[in-house]
Amino acid sequence: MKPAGYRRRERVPISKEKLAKHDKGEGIDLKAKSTRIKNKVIRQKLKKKEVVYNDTVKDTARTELLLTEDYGCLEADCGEVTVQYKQKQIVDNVDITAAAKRFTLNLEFGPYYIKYTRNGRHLVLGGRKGHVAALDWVTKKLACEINVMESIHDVSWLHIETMFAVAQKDWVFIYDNQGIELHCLKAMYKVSRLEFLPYHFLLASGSKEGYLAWLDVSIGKFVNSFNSKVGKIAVMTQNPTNAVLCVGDTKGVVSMWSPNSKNPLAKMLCHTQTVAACAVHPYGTYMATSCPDRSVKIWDIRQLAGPMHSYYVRAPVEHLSYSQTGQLAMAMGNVVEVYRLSTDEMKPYMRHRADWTVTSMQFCPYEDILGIGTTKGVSSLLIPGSGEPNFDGLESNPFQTKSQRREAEVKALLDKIQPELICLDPVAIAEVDTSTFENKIEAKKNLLYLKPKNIDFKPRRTKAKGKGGTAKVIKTKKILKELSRKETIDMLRQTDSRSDTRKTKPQKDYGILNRFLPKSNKKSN
Amino acid sequence: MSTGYLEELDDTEKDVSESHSKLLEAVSQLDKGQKVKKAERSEPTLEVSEFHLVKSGICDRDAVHVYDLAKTLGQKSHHHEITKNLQAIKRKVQVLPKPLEKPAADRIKRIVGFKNTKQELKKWNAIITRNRTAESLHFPLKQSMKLDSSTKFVKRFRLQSDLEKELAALEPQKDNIEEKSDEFSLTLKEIIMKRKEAARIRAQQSYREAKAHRQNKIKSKKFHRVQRKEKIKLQLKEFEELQKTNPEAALEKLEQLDKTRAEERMTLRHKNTGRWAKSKQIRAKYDKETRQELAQQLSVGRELTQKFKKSNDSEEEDVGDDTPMQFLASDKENPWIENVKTESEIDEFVKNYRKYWDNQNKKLESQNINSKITTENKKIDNPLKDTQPSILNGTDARVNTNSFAIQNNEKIEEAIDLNKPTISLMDFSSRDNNTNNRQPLETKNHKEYLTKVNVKNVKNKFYKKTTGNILDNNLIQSNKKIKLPKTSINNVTATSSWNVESIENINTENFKNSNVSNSEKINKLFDFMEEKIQDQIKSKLERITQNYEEIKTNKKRKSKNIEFKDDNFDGLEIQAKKQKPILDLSLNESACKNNLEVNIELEKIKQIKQHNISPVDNRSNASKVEIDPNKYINIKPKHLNTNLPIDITGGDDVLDDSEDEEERRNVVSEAFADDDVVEEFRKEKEEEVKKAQPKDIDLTLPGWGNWGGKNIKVSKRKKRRFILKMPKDLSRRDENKGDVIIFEEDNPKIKEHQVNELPYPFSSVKDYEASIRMPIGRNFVSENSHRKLIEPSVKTHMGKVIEPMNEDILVKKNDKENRKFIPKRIDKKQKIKRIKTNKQAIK
Repeated sequence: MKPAGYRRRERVPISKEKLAKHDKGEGIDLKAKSTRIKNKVIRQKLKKKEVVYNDTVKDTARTELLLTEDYGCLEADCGEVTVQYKQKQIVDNVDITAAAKRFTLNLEFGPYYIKYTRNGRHLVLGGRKGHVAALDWVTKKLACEINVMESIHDVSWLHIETMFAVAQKDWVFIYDNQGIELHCLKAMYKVSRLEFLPYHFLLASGSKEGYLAWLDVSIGKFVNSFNSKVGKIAVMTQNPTNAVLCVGDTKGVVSMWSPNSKNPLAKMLCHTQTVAACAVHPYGTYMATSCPDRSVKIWDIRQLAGPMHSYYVRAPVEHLSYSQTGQLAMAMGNVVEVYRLSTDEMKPYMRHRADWTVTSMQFCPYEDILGIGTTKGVSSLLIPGSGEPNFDGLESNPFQTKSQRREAEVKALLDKIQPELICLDPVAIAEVDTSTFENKIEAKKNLLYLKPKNIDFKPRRTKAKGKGGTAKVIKTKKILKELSRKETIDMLRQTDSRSDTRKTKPQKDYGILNRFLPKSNKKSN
Repeated sequence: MSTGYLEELDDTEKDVSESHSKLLEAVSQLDKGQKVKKAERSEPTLEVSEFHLVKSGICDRDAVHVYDLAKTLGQKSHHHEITKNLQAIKRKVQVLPKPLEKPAADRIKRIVGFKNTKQELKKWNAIITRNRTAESLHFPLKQSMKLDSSTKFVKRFRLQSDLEKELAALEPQKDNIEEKSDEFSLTLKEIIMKRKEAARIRAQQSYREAKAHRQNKIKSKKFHRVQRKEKIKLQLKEFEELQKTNPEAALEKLEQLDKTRAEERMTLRHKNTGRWAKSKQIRAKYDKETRQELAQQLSVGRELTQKFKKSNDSEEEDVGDDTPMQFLASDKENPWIENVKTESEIDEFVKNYRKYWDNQNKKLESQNINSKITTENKKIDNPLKDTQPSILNGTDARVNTNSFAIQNNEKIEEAIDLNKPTISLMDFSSRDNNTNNRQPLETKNHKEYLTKVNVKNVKNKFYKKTTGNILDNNLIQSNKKIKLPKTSINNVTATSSWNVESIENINTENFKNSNVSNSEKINKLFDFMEEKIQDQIKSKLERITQNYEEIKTNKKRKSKNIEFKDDNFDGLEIQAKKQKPILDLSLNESACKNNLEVNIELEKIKQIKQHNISPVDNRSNASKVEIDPNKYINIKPKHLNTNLPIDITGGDDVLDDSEDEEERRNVVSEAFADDDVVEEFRKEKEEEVKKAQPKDIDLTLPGWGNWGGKNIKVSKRKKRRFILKMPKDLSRRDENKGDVIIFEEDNPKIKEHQVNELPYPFSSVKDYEASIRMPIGRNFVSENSHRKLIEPSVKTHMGKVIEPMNEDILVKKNDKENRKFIPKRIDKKQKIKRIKTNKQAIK
C-alpha cells in the first residue's frame, strides 16, 4: 500500500536518438570474464564512474528539453514553391522586428566584404576602396566608419566585437570599434583572405603570394608563417570543428592546413579547374566547393571522401556559405540561391536577385539572416530557418552585455586551445600516442630483469561510425567486380570493332594552342 | 694443665666424632635404596636446594593417601555420608595430562590465536570495502548529528559585553553534569564475556593439544602408513589443484615432490636388501606369495629409480633410432610391471595350457610332418630376422611373438592389432622366473609394439614338428636343451619345457600354399608397415605436443581467472559458477590424418596437372585485383535549375578592371579545363606514398670481407645480413580514399600533448581512452553532472578532528536516526483557510 500523499515522480523519458546523439561510445570493459583490470576495488570504482558517465549522458540528453525554440521554415501553399517568394513578400508578412532586419546599404566604395561576429550581433564591412565600417546591425548603431585610404581585401572580427582586422593593400591592420588603429601587422603581407580561429585566438591569413600565417592575438606572437606553394590564395575558409584552414587553389585541389606543419594535412582533388568557392558546414561534416565549370560538389570532410553530391548549375558559383542549420547559399553573379538538404537531395529553398553582383556572403549566426556584400553596398536577406534558434549563453550570447563580454573574454582566454592541437582529428587529444608508447615498452623489454608489461595497444576508435562491416564490404566488392567486368567487355569490344573500322582524320595541329580549340573538335581527337 | 686436658679432650672428641661419622656412613651404605634425602617440610624459600630433590618412586610409596585414612572409617553406617563424599571425590579426580612441550604448545597457541584474530578482523571487511570503493569520502567519516547547544554555538561568534560578563559572574551558570567515568573500566557483563572468551580459547587449545598428544602416542605402523598415504594423497590433490590455479606454485610443489622422490631413491628402500627381504628371499623358492611380495617391492623400487621422461624430444629420439625403450612407470601395458600375477590366475593359466597342449598333441600325431614346411619356415624367418635381429640373436632366443603372429595371420592389416594374441603369452614371463636366472629384459623394439611380450625359451611349434619331438608339458621339467638340427639360422635353445604356440594349426595349411614370393611380399609389407607406423607415431607426437600446449594455455587462462581468489573483498563480485576452458583449437582427428597422408601424393599429382592451367588463372586473378575503386565511385552529377544572373557591369572604371580580371580568369580556367589535373594529382599521391614508405637500411661496408672497388657486386650473404628490410606496403589512411592525399607526419606536434603511457590500473589503450571519453566541463555537460564528475575523492572539514574508526561504525543504526525531517504537506485549501483565520484574528 502506498501512503496517501504518495506520488511517484518519474523522470521524463529520453528518446533513443537523443541518447545516441550524446553517447560517447563504448565504456571500459569491466565484465568479469574479459576485463583487463585486475584489481577488484579499482574495478568497482570504475564501475561507479561508468554509472556516473551514463547518468551524465542522460542528463545532457535531458537538457535538450531546454532547447525550446525550433527553427522554422517557409512552407509553400499548394501549387506554389518557396523559391518564388520574394524578399518583399516575406518582409510584408513577418513581424516588425524581423522586418527590420532586412535592409540594404547602398555604398559607393564597393565591392564589399562582410563578416559577422560569432554571436551574430555585429557586422563589419570593408569596401575595396578603403571603406571600413563596424556596426551593430540589429539596432543599426554604427560603431565606427573610416576610410583607410588603401585598397581593402578582407575583413575579420577578432574574438570580441571591439576589435577587427582589416587586410589592406600591403599589411593587415587591427582596429578597435572606434576605428582606432591598434596594430599594423607587417608580417602579414598582401593578404587576400583573413580568418579568425576563435578557440585558439589565432588570426589566420592567406596572401596573394601564397603565404599562410597564423597570429596568436592573445599574446601577439606569430605561430607560423610559410609559403603554401599553391599560388594565390583566393579561397580560404576554416573548418570550425578542427580549426584547419581549407585553401582552394587553381588546380581544383582543396588543401587543409594547420600551423604545425609546412605540408598540408590533406589534399583533396575536388574539381578539374580552379576552386571558386569553398564553405564548410558548422558541424564540420560537409564541405561545399564550386568551380567555374558550373559544378558544385558536397564532400564528406570528416572522412575526406566524396563527393556526396555533385551538381551542375546554370552559372558558375562564386560564393558559398553554410548556415547553422545546414542551408547552403550559392551566389552566382547577382543571383543568390539557398538550398536545403533534404533526404539525400538538395532542394531549392529561396532565391534572390540582388541589384549588383555579389562579392561576399555570410549567414548570420543565430539569426535568420543572410548577409551579402555586393559591388555597391551591403544588404541582409531574410532566410527563414537559417539560424540556430537556441543559443548557449556560455558559448556565444547575442544579447551580451558589456560585463558579460568581459567575463566571456577572460573565460575564453582561460579555455584557449594551444595551436599545437590543430589537426584533422579534433579529439586526437583524447587518444593515446600508441606509437611512442609502443616504442617505450619495446625499450623496456630489452632491459633485463624487468617483467614486460602486457599491454593491448589497440586504440578505441578504429572505425568511424557506420563504416565498415562485412555486409558493406561484400556489397562494394560485388559492385566493383561488376564494374570491372563491364569495363573489360567494353574494352574488348572497342579493340575488336574500332581497331580496323575507325580512321583518324588528319587534323591541323596548332601545337600548344590546341587547348583553345572547341571541345567537340578535341573530343574527336 | 687444664689446657692440656682440654686439648686431650678435644682430641678424643674428635676421634669419637670421626668414628661416629664413619659408622654412620657405613650404616647409610647398607641402605642403597635412598641416596637423595626426602624433602623436608620447612619455611617456604625461593631458592631450591639441590638436596631437596625428590625421588619420585619413594615419594609415592611412602605418601599417605586419602584411602589410607579412610580405611579406618570402615563400612559403618554413621560414616556413610563421609564415605559417599569420598567416593564421589575419588570419582571426580582426574589426573591432568602432562603439558605439551613448549614449542608444540606455542605453535598450537599461535595457530589458535591466528584463527581467532582472523575471524575477528573479518568483520571490518565490509566497511573497508565500502570505503575503498566509495567515490568520495567525507572525513570525519562519522559525522555526529548532535548539534552544539545554542549557547555554545552563539558563544563561538560573539564577544561577551562587559555587562554580560558581570552578569555571568553574578549568576554562575549551571555546570553541565558530566558523566563521571566508572571506576571500573569494564562492566560485570563484559568481564564475564571476557572470561568466557578466554575459556573458549583455552578449550580450543587444550583440544588440539590432546589431539596431537594422542596421535603421537599411536604406535601402529599401519596407522602411520595410512596417515602417510593420506598425506601424500592430499599433497597430490593439492598439486593438481595448484596445477589448475597457479602453475608457478605447482612447479615448486613438483620440485619438492621430486626431491622427496630423489631422497627415497637414495635410500635402500624397496631394494630387497633389508633383513626382511633377505629372509623372504630364502622362503621365496618355495612360496609363491613371498615371491610376489618381493617382486612387488622390486617393482616399486624400479618405479622410483626410473627416470622420468620429460620432454617430447626424447620420445622422438626413440622413434628415430631403435634405442632400447625404457618403461614408463605409467605404462599400463608394460608386462614388466604388470607381471605380478595372483596365484589363482597362474593356476588357471596352467590348467588351460595343459588342456590345450593335450589337444595339440593329439592333432600333431594325426598330421604328417612335411619337410617342406620347415624350409618354408626358414624363409619366413628371414624377414623376421631383418626386422628384429636383436631379438632373434643370442643363445636366449627372444622370440617376438608379435611378429610370428603377423606371419601366421597373413592378413597384415589385421596384424597391426596384435594385442589379443599376445596377451595369452604374457603370462609366461612370470612363470619363467622360477627356473631361470631372471634378467631384466629390455625390449629393443618400436614403441608401437607396446604389448610385446618377451618370452624366454620359447620353442617354435614348427621347429618341433621338424624334429618330431613332441614334448610333454610338464612344468617341473627344466633345462632340457633341444637342438634344432635344420634351422641353422635360428639356433633356438630351450631351457625349459615351455612350449608356446601362438596360433592354431590351421595356419600350417596356409603355409603350405605360401611360396617363396610370399616371403618377399611379406618383406615389403613389413617395410610398409614400419613406414606407416612411423608416420602414425609422428602424427601422434604432434598431437600430443599440441594437446600439451593446449593444456598449458588453458591452465594459464584458468590461472588468470582464479588468481585473485584470495582477496578479502568477496562481496564485490560474484564468481562465475562454471569456468569452462575455451578451446581454440579444433579437435584432432587421428583417423583422418593417415588418409590425408595417403592423399597427399594424389594431390601432388593433381597439382602438377593443374600447373599448366594455373598461370592463366593467375592472370585473370591479377586483373581482378587491380581494381581501383576510386575510379568507379562517382556520383552522377545532377543539374540544378538555377536562375541565370544578369550581367551587370559596374558603373565605375575600377570595377571594370576587376570584372575584366574575373572574366580573364574564367577564360583561362576554361582553357586549362581539360588539362589532366587528375593525372597530375594521382602522380603526386604516388610520389607521396613512395616518400612515406620507409626505406631499407643498408649497413654493408664496402670491401669488408671481400674485395672492394668499382663494379663489384655486393654478395648475397651481405645483402641478406646487412640490409635491414622495411615492411613493404604499410597501410595508409588515404589508401582507398581516391583523390585524397593525407600527409602522415612523422612527428606531429600534438604528440607532445598526448598521453604516451598508461596510468596504473589500465593495461589496454582502449580501456584508458574509454575512461577519459566524457567531457567534464560546464560547457559540455549539465551543472549537476559536472559537479558529480569533478567531485574530489576525499573531502575534509577544516578544523575537525579525524578520529580513527571504531566499532560503532559496524553497528547498524536505527532507521529513526537516519530519517530525514520531512515537512508535512499542507494542502492549498488548508493554507487558504489558515490565512483566512489569521486575517480574522487580525481583525
